[in-house]
Amino acid sequence: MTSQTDIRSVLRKLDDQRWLLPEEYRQGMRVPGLIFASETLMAAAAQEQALEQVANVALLPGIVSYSVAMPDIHWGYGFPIGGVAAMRVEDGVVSPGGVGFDINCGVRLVRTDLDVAEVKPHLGPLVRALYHKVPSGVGSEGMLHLSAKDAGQVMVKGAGWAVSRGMGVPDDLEVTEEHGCMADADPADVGEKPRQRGAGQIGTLGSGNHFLEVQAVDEVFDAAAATAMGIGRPGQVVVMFHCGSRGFGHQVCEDYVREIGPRMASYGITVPDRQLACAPIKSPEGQRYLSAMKCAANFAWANRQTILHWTREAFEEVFHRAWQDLGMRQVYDVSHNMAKIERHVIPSPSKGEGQAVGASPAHGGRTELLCVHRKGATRAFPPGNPDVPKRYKDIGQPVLIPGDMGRYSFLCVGGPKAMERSWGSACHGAGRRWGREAAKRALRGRDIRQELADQGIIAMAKGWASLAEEATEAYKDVAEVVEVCELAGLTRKVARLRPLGVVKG
Amino acid sequence: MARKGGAVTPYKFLEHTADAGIEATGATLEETLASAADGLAGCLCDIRTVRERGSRRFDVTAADTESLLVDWLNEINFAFEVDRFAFRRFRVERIEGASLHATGYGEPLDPARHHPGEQVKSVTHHGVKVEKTPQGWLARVYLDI
Repeated sequence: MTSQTDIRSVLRKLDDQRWLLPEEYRQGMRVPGLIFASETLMAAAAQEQALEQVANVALLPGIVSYSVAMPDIHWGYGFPIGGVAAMRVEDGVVSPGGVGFDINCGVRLVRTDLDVAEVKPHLGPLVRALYHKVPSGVGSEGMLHLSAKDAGQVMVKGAGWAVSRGMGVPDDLEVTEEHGCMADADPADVGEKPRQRGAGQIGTLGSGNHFLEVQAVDEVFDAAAATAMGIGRPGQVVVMFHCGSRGFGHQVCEDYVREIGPRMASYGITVPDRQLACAPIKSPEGQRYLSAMKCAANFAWANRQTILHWTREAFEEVFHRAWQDLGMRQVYDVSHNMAKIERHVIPSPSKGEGQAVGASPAHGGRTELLCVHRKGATRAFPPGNPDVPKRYKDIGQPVLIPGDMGRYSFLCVGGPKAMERSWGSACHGAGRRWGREAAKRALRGRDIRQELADQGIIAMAKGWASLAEEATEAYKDVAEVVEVCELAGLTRKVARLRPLGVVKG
Repeated sequence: MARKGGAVTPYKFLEHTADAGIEATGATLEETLASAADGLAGCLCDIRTVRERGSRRFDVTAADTESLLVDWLNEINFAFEVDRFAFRRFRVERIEGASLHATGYGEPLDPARHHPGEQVKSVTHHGVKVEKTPQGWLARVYLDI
């Protein structure tokens, strides 16, 4: 078969949440594709190039079991957004494009003791305070400008750097993926340009789909898990924000795609799209990229830690109480753009279609070290996994899934089948329904800010275009995406959160 | 075709679900790559508000023409983000092999006046194309926003 074949005609539906893209679809596919989606989500994915990209990823050396895609899959660069691919460390590749430009883009959730009724009268000043304290938008610079020495510390220590500067407490690190710091990050592997781009950007949101929201718990689905995370009742106010490694990470990716691209031939690797540029994990280029990626991941965690600190300050100013008195504890911080070396159990050879990607040791198979690329996919480890913080070991790793600014977001935990079905991964958001230009065309003339205000949501952004591009209509319904993950056993729903105040770039 | 100051400019924006693309055309490779840069400048801010009070030199060398397009636009994005310089237009003086020599005209970025648009994380290598057509040249590139 060729790429001209209608991809929908070769997809095989395994069950109500899983679709198989057979390796016969494209010559050179080393493994089949496995896409998690409902009928509706699949219909949307099939209209763009996302499924072709699932096939492209299956061509990469060392890929194990499947080229996986989450239900919020959409057209990306090289990898699809929502793509998950595990490569054998021994003979596989690492792809900077498979991590993406926004290295360690992620989401952080903070609980409070406040109730909607207490916050509503102060919502305007609160959103304004957050908007001014956490710079957003193009060309925004933070209140901090990193010295060369500080930049080095940020790259090595991550969120711990901010905590050591009084921006946060050690407990924040306990509930951050990797404790907010990837080990073995060597700043010598980062060039001058990422440092220049990142120097003024610590503590800034950026633009695009990055946001900071004051939210209210709308519904609790799992009271025990919610309680373990400090979420008690509908009406409780929480804060969620989404951002990454800013220009620092963008430039690290750019530099390594540029370096690795022309070197692929020397390793005998060819790829159908230059953005899939990759190098053997064990090669000098692969190792240097992973080290630089860790520096960028640490930059992202320092960024989100700084934003947490300023968020707490904004609440303190508006409510005239210390953040501790407001109960502003961090619930969790997840990354959704990363390549991580993880130990997974690989099932015994071929037990047929739709067999596990990984397996539990009880079911046989062998343990292997894999480089798991998650491009727009959240790690979602189940209860009992040693990488889940102690306080959550009985409920599983919190999985934070933003929706859109007019509807809702979800708080979930890693589900029972995540390890065997998706290398411990889940969706990372709703996924776009409209492109940015299409959204602006469709919404021309509409007063988005007023429409949100009519729903009781106060939104602040740099301009109409930012709001139009990120409008509810531009996104799929995240509830449908989360439902697929739930039914497939990748995550379990804990609570639904609805927006009250929105800060956009 | 997009309109700039009443004149028709030889680039258009392409749809991409999450982001944006630029397709530029021109009689020569130099013109085409300058048009692609104009397209990028149009994403970064409202070019109608940018005055030509200064310039920036660009000398870029890449492995091949496609990489040259990506690298050149990335250099512009870098100058916008780090040097905080807003561009109104570009002139590509010459391209020799995969080396480009060009000038960008504009002024220091003033967010209040220039209405910055999208932050471009990077210009990507996804689907990049530079090719000769019966009419001249065509260049296509996608941006990660």
